[in-house]
Amino acid sequence: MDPMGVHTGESIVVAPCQTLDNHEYHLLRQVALRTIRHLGIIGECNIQYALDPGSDTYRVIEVNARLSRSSALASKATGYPLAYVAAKLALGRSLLELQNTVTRSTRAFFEPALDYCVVKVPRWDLEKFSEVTTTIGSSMKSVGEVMAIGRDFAEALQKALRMVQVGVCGLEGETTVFQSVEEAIRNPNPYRIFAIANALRQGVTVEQIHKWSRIDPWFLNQCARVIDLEREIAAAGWPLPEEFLRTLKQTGFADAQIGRLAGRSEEEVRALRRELRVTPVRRQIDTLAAEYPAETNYLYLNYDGREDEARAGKAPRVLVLGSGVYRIGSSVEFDWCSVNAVRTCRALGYETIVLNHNPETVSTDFDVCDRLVFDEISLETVLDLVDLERPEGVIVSVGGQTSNNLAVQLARAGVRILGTSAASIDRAEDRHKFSSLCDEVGLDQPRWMEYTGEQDLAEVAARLGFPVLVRPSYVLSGAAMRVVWDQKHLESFLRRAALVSPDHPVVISRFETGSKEIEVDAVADHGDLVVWAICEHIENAGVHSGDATLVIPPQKLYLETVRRVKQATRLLARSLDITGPFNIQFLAKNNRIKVIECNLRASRSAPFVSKATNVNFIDVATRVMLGQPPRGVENHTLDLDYVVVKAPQFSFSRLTGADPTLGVEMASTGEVACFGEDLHEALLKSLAATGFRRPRRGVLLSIGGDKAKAAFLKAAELLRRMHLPLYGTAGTALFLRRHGLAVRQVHKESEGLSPSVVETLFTGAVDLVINIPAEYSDQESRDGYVIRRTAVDLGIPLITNSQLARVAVKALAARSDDQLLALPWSAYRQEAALGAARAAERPAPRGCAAPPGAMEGEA
Amino acid sequence: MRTDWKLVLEDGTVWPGRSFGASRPVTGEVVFNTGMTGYVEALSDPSYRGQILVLTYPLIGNYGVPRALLDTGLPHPFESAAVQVLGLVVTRSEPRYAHHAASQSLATWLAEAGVPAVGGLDTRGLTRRLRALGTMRGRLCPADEAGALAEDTLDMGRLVPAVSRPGVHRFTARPDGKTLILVDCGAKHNILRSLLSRGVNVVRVPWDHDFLKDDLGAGGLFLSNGPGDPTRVPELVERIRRYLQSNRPVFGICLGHQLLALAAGGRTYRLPYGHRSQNQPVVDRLTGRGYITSQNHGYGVDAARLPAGFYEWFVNANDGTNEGIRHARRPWMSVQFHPEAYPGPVETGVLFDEFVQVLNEA
Repeated sequence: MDPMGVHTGESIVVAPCQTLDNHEYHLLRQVALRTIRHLGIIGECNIQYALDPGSDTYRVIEVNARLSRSSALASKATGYPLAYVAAKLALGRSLLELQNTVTRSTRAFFEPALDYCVVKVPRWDLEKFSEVTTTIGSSMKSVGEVMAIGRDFAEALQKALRMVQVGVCGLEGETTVFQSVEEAIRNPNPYRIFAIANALRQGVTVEQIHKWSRIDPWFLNQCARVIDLEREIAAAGWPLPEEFLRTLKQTGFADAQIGRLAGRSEEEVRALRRELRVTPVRRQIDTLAAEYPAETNYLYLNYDGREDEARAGKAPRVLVLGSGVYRIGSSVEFDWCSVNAVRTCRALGYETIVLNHNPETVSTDFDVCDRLVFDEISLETVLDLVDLERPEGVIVSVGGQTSNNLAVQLARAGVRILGTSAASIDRAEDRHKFSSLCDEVGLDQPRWMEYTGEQDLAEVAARLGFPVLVRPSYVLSGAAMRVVWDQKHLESFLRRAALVSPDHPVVISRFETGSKEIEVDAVADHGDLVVWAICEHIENAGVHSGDATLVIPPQKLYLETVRRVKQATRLLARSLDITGPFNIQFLAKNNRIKVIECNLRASRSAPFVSKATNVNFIDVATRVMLGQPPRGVENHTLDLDYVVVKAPQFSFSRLTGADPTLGVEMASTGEVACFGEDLHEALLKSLAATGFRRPRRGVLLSIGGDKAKAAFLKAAELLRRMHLPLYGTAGTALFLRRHGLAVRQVHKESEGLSPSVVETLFTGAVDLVINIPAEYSDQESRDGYVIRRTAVDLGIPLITNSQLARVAVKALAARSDDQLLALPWSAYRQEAALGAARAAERPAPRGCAAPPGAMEGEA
Repeated sequence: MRTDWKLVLEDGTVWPGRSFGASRPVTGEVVFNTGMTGYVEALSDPSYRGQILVLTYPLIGNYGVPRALLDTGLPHPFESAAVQVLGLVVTRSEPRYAHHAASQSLATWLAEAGVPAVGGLDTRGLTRRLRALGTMRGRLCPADEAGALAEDTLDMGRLVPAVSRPGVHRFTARPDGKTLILVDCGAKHNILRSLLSRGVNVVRVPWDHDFLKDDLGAGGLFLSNGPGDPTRVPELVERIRRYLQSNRPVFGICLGHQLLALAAGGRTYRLPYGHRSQNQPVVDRLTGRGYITSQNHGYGVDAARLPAGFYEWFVNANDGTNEGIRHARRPWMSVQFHPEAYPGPVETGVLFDEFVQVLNEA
């Protein structure tokens, strides 16, 4: 839909082609065939074209002789398994020999015929980054995508816009405020589609919007149809007539959206639909537009027909809700959880249905489950699907927050939630309820309160004490969380328009500094702990757990802390009567622990602890949820004979302008984990896997705050001992020189002197930058930003956390690159088995005792 | 959407929809095509004469209907001078079309041609039914029309005479080039274009032209595509049979393929629901090479009873039906699919090259 100039990963993409006539389509198809023959392609190839909308002039932009970003989308859009077929071709089979795996009666040698339309919409998370440019163009910034299937473009588009979870019910124009609608349409950005809706609603013509955006008028006209129907809803009166209601559903209107426009609740619209029998049916993606009967279980929901096409078996059914769109904070880890839950359900003899709409996932491979419904993960869709499938129950706890959030409403609508009850989920999710639970059972929590704009801020501050973490309602403002260090800044932050209202209170909580952060992943069965794992963050509390470097088994926790964490975990499992996976985050300081949050679902770290401990937590959790708890699950969380480190992967280099620093908002877009004999080996391997390289030329140090400088002194000495030249900004250089270290001073940009940091970085003399921002600065200084951003832009490894910097330097000093061993996972697993055997002989597991000299929360 | 028209099938099922073409009720055979683009080419293909066409792709009319551009005297991208289908059935026809070449909407084009069209019905459900029960007769009519299916609007037995253009027309590519007789059973323009662009002169003759008596100086015979059952034109089959007594080159496409098979002593039969799509895989049995082809036929040549001297040239990779025959020694060959494409993939156009070479060497 977006014209050329917007990266394909950033574009709204439609399949099949909507605006090409036969001549244009086959012109480009012929060029493709000539290209692959010329290049001798065997397997998959992707070609991007630019086609002049005013003639048949075209250009080939690029040819990728491999599976590409769009291959996954193309496979899901058509049902044609490109990677599978490409692998077979690589093995020497021919297309004519291969079967069409969807129909199972025709050949893989064909071109899919679609009798539906798919729309892909990307998901960006640019709000999470400060300083980032929000225009989109030829480089990719989106972090996820969704694919919606419909028999109408408008239907698929509206579904997709809901799927990306940006707080809209469809093609809405009001939810985003634009300074200039024209500018928002002229310059591509993540909200352009909503600016178009906004403009259409204001009466701007399709011709005008086409002139601004160069989007093909056909697409704009389809958007205009949605706006026209919107107006009709308001005029139609209640109850809506059956034919009109059906038309709305065929055009992709959600019950909630219709309700809002008609002044009714979502429940009322649903009730009317059921009364008028305007309900969806499951339709097959069969690759041949129904020309041949297909065995396929790949389905979507649609209102065009009355004939349901699913082929159901006789076994009891389970519906598993998938992860939905990948976004920062919810990514492939939840797909791993979904897929593992599905495998276990199937192994236990259940007919397993997956509901998900993310084309990048394995859970949306139609051969993973018994039935795949590629559609929205919303209350409306799940209820419709439950009506069609009549499952024994729904698993909501393996897809992340989106699916877990549906638990309460689903239960209220009479759907059986497998595992932990919806009431318990609500008790853990609702801050007030969870707080009183913690009080009841005697667990400590950081102090917090809800601020509605009516209380006296001075009183608030006095009660909580600074610093505080301020969490605005995302729905209202889209504003980021932030740490505030004094009352003046708190006032100015809260004064910002639309940030706070009685309906959307801001949560203010005490921000605990200098604490360790501990993460527990566990599975319980009717409140009894079945298996658990404890991870320690290298970074002190304050770095989002998704951006933290996780270590298992913990290296720096007192036995007493571990014992208390385990007790608290038991206590919460018992009080919330947990059956299934859960995750708790703790703060620890001097053997005192506080609960930050408790999620009654599989967490981001579930795959990590499963792989690290060699116990599949999701398999265990799924068995428990289905009432078939496994016996004799071995629990290895402390007695591992190796160390595993999970490190975040950042994408700052792609996010032009973004400040590459760690904070309370998650910024990483991926993660790695590596095994090692000790922390040092595991950490170095993990860092290397995220692109970190051992420094050989020189290290730039710019460390804010006296405490941090002092804490880094030993590490700086280690760097010197490795014969690495040190460069320092004024304060850091002065401090280190005073302690007898040779440091070359470089100047911050604001000093206007030479050699500046930027100049030095450009000379290539530095191949590691350690920049620790001062803790107390509310608005980060421009100088620090320039250092970090230049490092990222030049591809120089950057560390911005004090604890991580020290451990990393120690590791670099302790191990050379030759001492990093690449062993197969099985080697560690065997070690684990060995360890378990040894542990059985030993009274107390190893690794619990505090290592000599270790200090919790040392800062 | 208020429904005002309907499609009634022979099996009694009623498919309500909304009229967007001409308001003329029609009765005919209901067939489906799974192509996703190329509706202008398809609707003007004379092979659809007498049929109500269901398009399985749900969004039709997006790029409107273009102004005809004359290309070697033939209107591009139209495959004949008229809309050929008896009626059209789609899920959604978009009145707000957009394309640089478009001059009118699909609805206007159909209405002006007097062809009824119905949108807003579930073409996938309809297709599943036609696939399961086989091609059926059906009637497109106003929603309030009562009674059983009326007689076929067109005489299904005389479709070829109805689409074949009267008079002998000469199309000259190169004065010194070879000349072919194109027997017009409803020939698509692109067969003509494909021959002319390869330097072959074409004399297009009506289906009943006696090319035995008057061969118009042509060195070979080209049997075109066309509508309906090949056994309904026995006089043409007989004429071809006698033509085969000479050694002159013959090529057939679609109906032409079936006519050649019948003339040489083979047999044809009716397929349950035909092949109408742009993604049919066929295999050249000589080379083992596969091609994706465009197809539109409801009858086929019986591979089990091929005429003497002929071998199976192409076969459908999905259902094993015959897709082409060729004589072992003589320059006679024909294919069930459409090497002239339009709509659909164009790579089997190489067959024209092959035949032109045979013609030039004859």
